[in-house]
Amino acid sequence: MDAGEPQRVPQEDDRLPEQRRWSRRAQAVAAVVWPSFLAAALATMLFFAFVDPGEMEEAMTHPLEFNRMTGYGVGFFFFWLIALVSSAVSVYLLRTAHRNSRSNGDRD
Amino acid sequence: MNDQAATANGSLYARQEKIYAREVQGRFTRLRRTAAWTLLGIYYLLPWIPWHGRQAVLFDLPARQFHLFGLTLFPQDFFFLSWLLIMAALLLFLSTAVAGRVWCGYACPQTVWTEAFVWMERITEGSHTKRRRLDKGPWTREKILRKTAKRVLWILFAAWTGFTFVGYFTPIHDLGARLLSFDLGPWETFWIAFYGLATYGNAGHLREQVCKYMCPYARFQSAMFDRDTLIVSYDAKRGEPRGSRKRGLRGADVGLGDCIDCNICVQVCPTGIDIRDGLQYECITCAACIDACDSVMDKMGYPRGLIRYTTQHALEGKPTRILRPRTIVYAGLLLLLFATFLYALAQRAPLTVDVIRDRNALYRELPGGDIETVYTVKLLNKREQPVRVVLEVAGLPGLRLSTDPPQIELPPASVMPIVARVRLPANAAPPGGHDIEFRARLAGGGEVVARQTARFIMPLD
Ligand code: SF4
Ligand code: SF4
Repeated sequence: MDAGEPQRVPQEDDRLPEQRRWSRRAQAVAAVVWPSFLAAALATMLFFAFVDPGEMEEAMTHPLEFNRMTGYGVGFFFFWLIALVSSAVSVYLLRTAHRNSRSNGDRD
Repeated sequence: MNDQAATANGSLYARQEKIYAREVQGRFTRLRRTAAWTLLGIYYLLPWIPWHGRQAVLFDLPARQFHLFGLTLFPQDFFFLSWLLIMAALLLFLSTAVAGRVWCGYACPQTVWTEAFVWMERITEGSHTKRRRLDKGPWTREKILRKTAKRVLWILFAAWTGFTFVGYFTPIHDLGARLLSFDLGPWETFWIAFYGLATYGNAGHLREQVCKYMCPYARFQSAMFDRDTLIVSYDAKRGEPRGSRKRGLRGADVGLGDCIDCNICVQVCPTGIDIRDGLQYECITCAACIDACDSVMDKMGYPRGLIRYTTQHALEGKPTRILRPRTIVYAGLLLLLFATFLYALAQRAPLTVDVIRDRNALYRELPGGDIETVYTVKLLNKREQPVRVVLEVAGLPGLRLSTDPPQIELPPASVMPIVARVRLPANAAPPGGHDIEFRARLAGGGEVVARQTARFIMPLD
């Protein structure tokens, strides 16, 4: 739209903290942490709909002392960790993809 | 820009500073606030509503059952829950195709809690301009007081949010009582803190950054957009060429469009974009810029709607259709899913039987020559009324079953494990595994309400 028009871009200083742009690093961290959190929540729901942590404990040869709430909690963080690692590796691969082939320099 | 225009512009700026600057007033802002407070009210009150002696909405994780008013779901009913989630997703698709990002603007928890946190910030730190001055200024007594007040409000509100959240998963009355006597379990404490902290961070600090950089829906919603989708748009035909002018002058008088280039729409935008650059994925259609621009138009005596809710087709002067293949498909699918859901719910077995063989022994040879296997039978009563049943077993001639007690009384919406001993004379069946069937019959010779197959093992010798 009217690319030739001079446009008044608000000064960075004019903007509230939540209006400012994030650095690439901050964007990457957010893109890793949040979607993997959502994925872990989904995985926890699916998994524990079929598996009762109470019965998991009974089935163990050396039962650890835990109740269902511990099972859910540990399960959630386990799934989150896995998803975090996977997302982090994806981001790492994307962000380092062009470093070794300078001819293909469409980085920003 | 000549001197006169500059002065006019300057005075206009001064006025803006006082009146708007981020704190927008207008119909959409009112609508958004109403929606936000309503949703917040529902969130905080719902867990306290009782229903036939228990919490109306309770996802009772420790007991593994979900209560939704008159409906109780068990893990066995996982189908219903996933069905509900799929329907919710389709509803989101449909609303996105028709009305764009109304979800983002009015209903997303991110928006709703941000609204609440911004409100707390405003009553403690003052308007946007005051807030900026406060941030830049030295640490006076007032600054310390205002900042502390804000933080304290935020923390209390976030903690209450976390408490309510956990109250959806364990009975909230007990939780409250235990909170007051400092007797919370470690996981309850943890989840309250975790959810509270997430709320504090997301709504207090990140705000619309979540929409810009973290939210998956924000990025893929454009896939559901077409030229008939409602969007917030600047009417470039009417607004351009933009430029400042003296108050009271029509745009046509000075060879300009209706946009006076006051930049207020940019200042109020929570995601910091300029809507005049066209549709951008950062725009959450909060309509703050509409309200802001409308009030400028009012002030200038121009008609409202230079920025407005519209569609691409409407902007091009073509008619906008709500019914189109995309929306028909979404709506049709949604109806179909809803009908299946209701049908399946009506067909849902009111009672189920789950049989688990004793893990430690396949069978036992009794002194009298009988073979005995012990099972744990889990009886699940999904109804809201108590029910009395007797267990029977069939599949091999001569099978005998005993439970203690023989007649089982199941409370409403409950799971009850029953130890069942099944005996068979040693020569009554060939060696190896046999399928037998457990049946739950309504007491007093009623009908069989549930059945489940299990294995019965005969010794090889
Ligand atoms: S972009 Fe995402 S987080 Fe932001 S309002 Fe929309 S759905 Fe919510
Ligand atoms: S451009 Fe900004 S202020 Fe306008 S609707 Fe979009 S997000 Fe809201």
